[in-house]
Amino acid sequence: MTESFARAVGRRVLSRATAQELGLVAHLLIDPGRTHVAALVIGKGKKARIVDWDQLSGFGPDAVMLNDEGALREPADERERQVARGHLELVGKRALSGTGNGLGTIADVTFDPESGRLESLLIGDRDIPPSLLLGIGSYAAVLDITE
Amino acid sequence: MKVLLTAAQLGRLPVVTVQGGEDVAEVRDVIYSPEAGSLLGLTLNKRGFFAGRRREVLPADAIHAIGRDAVMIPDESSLAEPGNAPDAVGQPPSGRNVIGNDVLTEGGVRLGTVRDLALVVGSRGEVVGYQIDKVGGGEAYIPLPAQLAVSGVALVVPNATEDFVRDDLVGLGAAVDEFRTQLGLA
Amino acid sequence: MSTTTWFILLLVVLLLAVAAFVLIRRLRRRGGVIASRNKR
Repeated sequence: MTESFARAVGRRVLSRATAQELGLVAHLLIDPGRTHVAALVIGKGKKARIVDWDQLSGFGPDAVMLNDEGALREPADERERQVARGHLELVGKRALSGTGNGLGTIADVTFDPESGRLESLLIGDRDIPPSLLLGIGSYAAVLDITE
Repeated sequence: MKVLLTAAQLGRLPVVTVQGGEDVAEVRDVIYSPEAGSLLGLTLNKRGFFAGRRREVLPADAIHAIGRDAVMIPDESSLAEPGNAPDAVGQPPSGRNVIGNDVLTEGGVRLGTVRDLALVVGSRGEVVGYQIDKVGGGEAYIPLPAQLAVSGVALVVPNATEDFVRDDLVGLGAAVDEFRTQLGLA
Repeated sequence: MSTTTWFILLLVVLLLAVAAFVLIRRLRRRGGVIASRNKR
């Protein structure tokens, strides 16, 4: 079963230890190598907290389960703060080729919920490998595509 | 087949960093060398409706690529202080805006007035021709030869240019190589 | 003149000033295509 960012946003996050609901998935953060989901952002604004992928006991279709509440942490750097504010959200982001041509907008990002491994970027009617991402910023995601 | 865009289209484009995905500026002046047939650099404005000019300039060799939707630079450090850039870019000559210049052949035939420049997409600024307002009205394109006299008031082109006036950018793209071969410049 | 008239005049002047400011800014942003002479 493949997961996607657009579907995952809004999903409930619970602690496996206490069965308490800790919030909803607001954003997903990818790793610098662009291969995996690195962390989730739960909650918005000042209440936004980060959970690293390895702190999840499971990413299910109905809920995301954390090992325990202690897994929640504050954004650690400027990049994480920017993600928490939604500036670096991939879904809906303008996609630009490294050659300066617009490719459309990123409709969704698919990943494997077991491993967190990114599968593809859905742009227009194309599946683009996330490894082609060169830079993600507030204006656009730049892709290593020549066209 | 070369895909072309005009300097007017360039003038509205954002300057985006490949590494950062940020629109750090937008294009203001397009500075080119008619002799070399290439872009020398760009002067910039800040982004935003109420924003003014940007001090830094972008020399052509710092450009990663020019596309239909953006001018790509590796990162923000690609922008240069005017003092550190070639004079042509840092201190562009005034009164050398070619828009509106008369286009005259060596034989003294007036082809029209310059409306725009045509550049190759994907390159770092290869200039291949001009868009002109024709004498009788209407728009056309003429290819750029390597040698050209430019005064800031008029452009002088080889006589052969008259035979290579084209109606659209697509036609120009096809005409450029043929034209240069004929002039012995290819 | 009444106070109201003064206020209105002030407002108009302010608006004109802002408009002039924005207009000048926008005009300075206009770019051209500049042919440079190569020093060879």
